Amino acid sequence: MTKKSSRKTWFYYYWNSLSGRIGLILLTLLLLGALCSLFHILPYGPLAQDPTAIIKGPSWHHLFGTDQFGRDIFSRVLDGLRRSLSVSVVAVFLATFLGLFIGVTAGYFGGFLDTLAVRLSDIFFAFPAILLALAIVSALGHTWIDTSFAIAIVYTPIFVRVTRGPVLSLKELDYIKATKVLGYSSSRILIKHILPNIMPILLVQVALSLSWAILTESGLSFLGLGTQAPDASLGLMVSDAQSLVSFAWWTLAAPSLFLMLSVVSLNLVGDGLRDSLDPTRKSI
Amino acid sequence: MNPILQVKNLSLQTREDKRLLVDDVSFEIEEGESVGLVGESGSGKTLTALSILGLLPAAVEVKSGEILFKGESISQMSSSALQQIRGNRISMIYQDPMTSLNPMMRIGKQIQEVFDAHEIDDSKEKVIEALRSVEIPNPEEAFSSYPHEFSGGMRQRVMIAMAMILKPNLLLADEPTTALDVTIQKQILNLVKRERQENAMSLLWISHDLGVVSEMVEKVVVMYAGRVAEIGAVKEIFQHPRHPYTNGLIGSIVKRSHQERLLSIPGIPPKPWTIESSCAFADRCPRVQTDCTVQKPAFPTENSHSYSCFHPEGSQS
Repeated sequence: MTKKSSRKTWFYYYWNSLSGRIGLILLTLLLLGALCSLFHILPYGPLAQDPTAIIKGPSWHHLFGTDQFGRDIFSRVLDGLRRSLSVSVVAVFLATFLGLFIGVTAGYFGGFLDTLAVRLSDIFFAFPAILLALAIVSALGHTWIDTSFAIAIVYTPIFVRVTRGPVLSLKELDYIKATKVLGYSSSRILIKHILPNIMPILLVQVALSLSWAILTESGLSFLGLGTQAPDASLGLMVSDAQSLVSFAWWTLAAPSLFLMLSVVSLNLVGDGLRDSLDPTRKSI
Repeated sequence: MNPILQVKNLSLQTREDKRLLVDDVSFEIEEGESVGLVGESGSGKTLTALSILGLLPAAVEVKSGEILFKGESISQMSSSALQQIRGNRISMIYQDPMTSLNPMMRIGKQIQEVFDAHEIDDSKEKVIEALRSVEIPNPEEAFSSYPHEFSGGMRQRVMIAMAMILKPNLLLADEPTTALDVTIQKQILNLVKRERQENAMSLLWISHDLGVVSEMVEKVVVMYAGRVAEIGAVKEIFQHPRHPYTNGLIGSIVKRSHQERLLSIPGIPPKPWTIESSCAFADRCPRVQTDCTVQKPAFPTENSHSYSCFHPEGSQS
C-alpha cells in the first residue's frame, strides 16, 4: 500500500503536462478578455464610431487599429470573443447533456432504443457539420440562442457516440456486473458507477468540441447566418475585413489571431486533460 | 432443518436457438449448510448461480423449473423485490478480484454504496469495522485508498467485506480463490469459513478445484455437461464415488503419495444440447454399456447420496 502523501490530485498531473499548462494560461487570458467585455470595461464601446479615426493602424490609442467606421478593433475583438465563447459554451453544454443522456441510456439498456439512437446519429453524421448547422440556423433564426441550438443539434450525435461506446464495454466489466449482484438500481449504477468512469473521455470531448464550436459559430457568422452586423463576432469581423485587408492588414489579423488562439488553447487544454485523466499514464 | 435455497428441476436454454444449457438440475441448501458445486468449465455451474440471483445473461432463459429462496420463487419476484434480496440476503463473490472493484471509487465509498443502495445507515465506523473483520491492515487508511493500491488478495478481502457487510443468509462464491496464489488462497478460505460460522450463513461454493471444495463444504453437487452427475456428503463422495465421472475427477487430483500416473478422462465434455437421449458421460465413460447411449439415467434429487448412472462404481458390470 502506498503512503497517502504520494497520492496526487489530477490537477498535479494536468499541470505537469506542458500543453495543458500553456492551454490553461492562454484560455484564462482569453476568458479574462471576454469577461472585460461582459462587464463593459473596454477602452471603447464595441459599436462606438469615431469619424476622425477611420482605418488607422495599431497605435497606443487603438491597440489593434480601427476599421472603416472608426470602431476600435481591440474592443470589438473582445466583444466578439465573448459572443463566440458564449454561443459555443451554451451549444456544447446542451449537446453534452443531451448526448450524454441518450448515449448512456442507449448503451446501457440496449435494444430498440440503442438501434434508434445509433441510426439517428448516423444520419446526422452523414452531413458535414457546417452544412447541417447552416440548414438548421436558417430554419430557426439569427439570434445567438438559435445559433447555439443549431450547433448543439450538430454536436449531440458526437457525444452520443463518444459516451455510448465506453458504456457498452463498461457494462460488461466485472465491477459493473457486481453492482447488479449487490442489488443496486439501474439509476444508481448509471449515475454513481458508470458516469464517473466515462468522465475523463467526456471532459476531453467537451474541450475539443468547444474549440470546434467556436469555429462553427465563426463560420456561420462569416456566411452571414450567425451574429448580425453591427454586433461584433470573430467570424463576422473576418468577413468584413475581406475587402479591407489589401490596405489595412490589422482588420483581418486581430480577429484571426483571437480565433486561432481560442481554438489552440482549447485543444491544448483537451490534450492536457487527456494526459492527466488517463489512469494508465499515472504510475504509483 | 429448513432449506434456505431449493433449486427444483431447473433447465436453462439459449433464448434464440433454444439450445439446452442446464438440464433438470435439482439440489437444496439447508440453513447454515455449505454446498460445493463442482464441474468443468461450461458445465453450467455459473449459470446456475446467476439464476439464483435472477441475473441470467440476456441470451439465456429459464426453460422450466424454479428456484425457491426461503420458500419464495425467485422467478416470480418483482425486479425491485429481487434488488432487495441481492447484496442483502444473497451475496456473491467472484473469481477475479482485480476487475471486480470500481477503479474510480475509493474502497470505503464502494462499501458504503452497499449500505446506501439498501437504505441502511452507512456510518464510516461500520465500514472500517468490516474492513478490520476481513483482516485488512490499517483499515482507516484502506478506507480512503483506491483499488489499484491493493494487491489481489487484499482486493478479494474487500470483495468479501462488501459481500458480507449486510450479513446475508446465503453467499455464492464463484471460484473466488482461482486467481490467487496458494498461500493467499488458504487465508481467504479461512476467512470465508470464519465469517460463515460467525454469521450462521449458508454457502454455495462453486469450483473446479476438488481440493478446495473438500475443505470448504459439507455437501457436494457434481455437475457434468449441464446435468447433475452426483450429490452427496463430501466424505461419501470422496470415499465412495458412485458416478464414473466423479471417480475420474477424484482420480485426477494430485496426492502427496502419488507414485503412478494421474488418471485422466479421455475426450472432452459434450455440449449439453447434443446429448438429449443418452447419459451425458456415455462417450467417455469406462463403464459404458448399451443402455447408457439410448436413455437418460434419472437425475438425483434427494439430499442423501445419489447419482445419475445405470452402472455406478462398485456395482457389477
